[in-house]
Amino acid sequence: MRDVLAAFGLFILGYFALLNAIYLAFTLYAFKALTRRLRQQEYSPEAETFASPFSPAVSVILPAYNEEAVIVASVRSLLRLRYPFLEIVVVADGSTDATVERMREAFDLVEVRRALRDSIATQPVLATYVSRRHPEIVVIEKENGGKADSVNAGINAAGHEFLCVTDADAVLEPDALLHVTRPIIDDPDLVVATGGIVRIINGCRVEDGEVVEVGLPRSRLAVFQVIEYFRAFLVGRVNWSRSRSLLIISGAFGMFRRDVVEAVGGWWNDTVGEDAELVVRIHRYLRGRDEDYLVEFVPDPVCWTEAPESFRSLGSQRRRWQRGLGETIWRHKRMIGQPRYGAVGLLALPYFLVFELLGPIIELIGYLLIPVAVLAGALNPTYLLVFFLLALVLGVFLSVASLALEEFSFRRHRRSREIARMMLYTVLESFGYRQLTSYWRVREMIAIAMGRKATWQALPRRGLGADAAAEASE
Amino acid sequence: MTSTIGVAGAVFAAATVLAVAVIVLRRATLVVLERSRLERETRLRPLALALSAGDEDAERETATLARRDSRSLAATLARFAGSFSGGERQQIAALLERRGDIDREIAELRSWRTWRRGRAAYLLGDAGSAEAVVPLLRVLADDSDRDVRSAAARSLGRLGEETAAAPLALALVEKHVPRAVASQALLAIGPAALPGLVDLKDHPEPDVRELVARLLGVLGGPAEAEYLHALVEDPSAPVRAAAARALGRIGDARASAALTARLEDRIPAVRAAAATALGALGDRSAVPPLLRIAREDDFEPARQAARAAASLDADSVRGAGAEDGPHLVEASDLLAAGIEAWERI
Repeated sequence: MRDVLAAFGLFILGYFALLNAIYLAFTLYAFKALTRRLRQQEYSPEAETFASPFSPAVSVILPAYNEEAVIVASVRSLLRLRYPFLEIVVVADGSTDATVERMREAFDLVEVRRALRDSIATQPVLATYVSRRHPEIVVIEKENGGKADSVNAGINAAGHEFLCVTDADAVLEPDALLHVTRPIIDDPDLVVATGGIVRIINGCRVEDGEVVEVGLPRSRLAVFQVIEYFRAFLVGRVNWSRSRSLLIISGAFGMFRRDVVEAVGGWWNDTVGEDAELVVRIHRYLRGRDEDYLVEFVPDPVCWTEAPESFRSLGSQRRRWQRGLGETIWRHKRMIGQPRYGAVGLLALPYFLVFELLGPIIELIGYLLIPVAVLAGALNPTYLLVFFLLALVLGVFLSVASLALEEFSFRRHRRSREIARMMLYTVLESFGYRQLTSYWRVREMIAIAMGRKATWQALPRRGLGADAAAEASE
Repeated sequence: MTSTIGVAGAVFAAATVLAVAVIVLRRATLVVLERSRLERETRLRPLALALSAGDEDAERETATLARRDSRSLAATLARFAGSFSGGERQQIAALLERRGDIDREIAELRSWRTWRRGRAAYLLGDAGSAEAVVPLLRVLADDSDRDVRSAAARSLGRLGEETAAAPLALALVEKHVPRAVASQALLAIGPAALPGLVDLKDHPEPDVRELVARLLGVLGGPAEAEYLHALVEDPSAPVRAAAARALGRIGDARASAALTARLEDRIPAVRAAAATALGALGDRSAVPPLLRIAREDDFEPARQAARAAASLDADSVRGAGAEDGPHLVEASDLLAAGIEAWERI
């Protein structure tokens, strides 16, 4: 018994050491990459070269299921994007509310029988419309089939070579498209997909579908997520992109080359993690054919989304992410450890399997076994205390470092008080928040193991610009 | 074991404190720096305005400025120069030359610090002095840092330097600078870049020829069309497509026959480009072959052909039925709704 416990203790220690070594290495590199960018901004010609006649034409795809409250505002905010060649394809996914009517009133839609590609099978399209006021707006009305199916219908209707897939509740930066198309302009033959930084909108002031003042949410749960997002985007994705194994492009705002998406068969309908799954499938397809390509992360903020503020909805979100990750890894398990898939098979997928998918389980087992080990005399309480302190300090350090990354790059939070508050939360997150998210993830793993279907509800939408009002009235 | 972990913990605790200190310090210094920069700019602004208006008293006054102020003044003047053109710009450039600012920035181009080279390369583009051209060309060709080379490329564009056209085009194709930056610089040089580009039209790399075709389409006029007539028969499909689109953009009426022939190209993207270009030329004799493509061809060429036919001769697509295929139906519906289907060339 004691030997088993000791062996497990060593395993935990090794696991912990490896994970944190990866985090530290990632943080260091991210620092290098982002500070370099900061310096370079002073003499970067980017701003002037943005809108060139060489920018690729882009079809923005906006899937909408019962979005009558926000659809017109979302499309208006897309119209405000700074970009020279743009088409907006709204896909009403069998909406039972007035999504299409709202669009018709706002943009003077008229029915036009649009020629649709048949490259990806979808639920039947019922009608297609074009706006008389803005001929670049196309609305597709189809039978309900889910988000992935709607995006696929949008691809079939898209007129341009590049697709930008976004969400009705995402608030976009006016330069979002210019940012994510930059790698494509640089190398149109090589770059097949790009994504940027997604930020949390709770606590920000939104006017006319645009974030005008960045603020920290009042909700404690949301503040933890702000810090989490810093770590995930500024540290995680910067590094995955560099090692050519970026697995996730957020469904809230991502750019893809149409021919590649068509070649791999479009978005997969039977998963809740369709954004990651598609990117992994693209890697699998192109690496399998030995093609040279790039999936790039652009370290610029591109869009803002609402973070859940209640335990219930946060729990749903985390369980959905966990299930999506599990489904993606399961579907592509053959790639794991295969040298032909390069860093995706050798680094990224193993990492996501061991540290992201199984991590919470290992963590939970650790919590359960520690008291047993102490009671059985296999674990010295002093050692335990020291180890716990190290874990705490490391956690705080990594979070503070990601805050520093933000400070040295985008510096969107102007109020020093907010930075101080976030620093406090880097300590607090180790006491409860992390364990809570692990608990949700383990719960979902158990549900999957028992063959239970996904059960959670969508986040209630408050509508663009409603946040500030809601915030003020709280 | 315990002590190792303890030491590690202490190290990270120290690192955390350090990181927090760095954040706090940075916040504080940025506030101070920003304030002093604002103060300096406000203080020097009247002087800069007087100088750019050619006030000689003001010029004498600048001789006594502190070094920091002098640099800040030069940067402000360069920014002014960047927003002017013609005589005023030259006048400021001459002033910056007299003050030795240009020489100082040229010397900075050799700094071992990347950001100093980059900053100088950027500023020289705004300043508008021709003395900077040769050093900037050297940076474009030799500098080890891509961002510094980009700043030089941008500056050569801002200077409207025609001899920079060919080096810029090659730097673009060899990926020495981002495509967007180099092509923007070439566009900034404008028609003066044409001779340099025409020289590259027979370059062995298809990428170079494609770029030349695209740029000739944007910058060129009827005089450049003859080169495009050759490129539209190029062995490389992307070159043919780019040349077809460029001919449409220039609006060269003689290109109609060559473009109609391209409707039979082996590659769909070339057929699509030819159809788009024919739509822009306005030659109605292209309508019958366009209608055929619109009915029978692959999605992209058919789509472009239907739109081109509709813009050349609305009556030819009006009332199209299912037997004409989805693209002509769409074009006909758009016409009926009074929507002009735009297509970018």
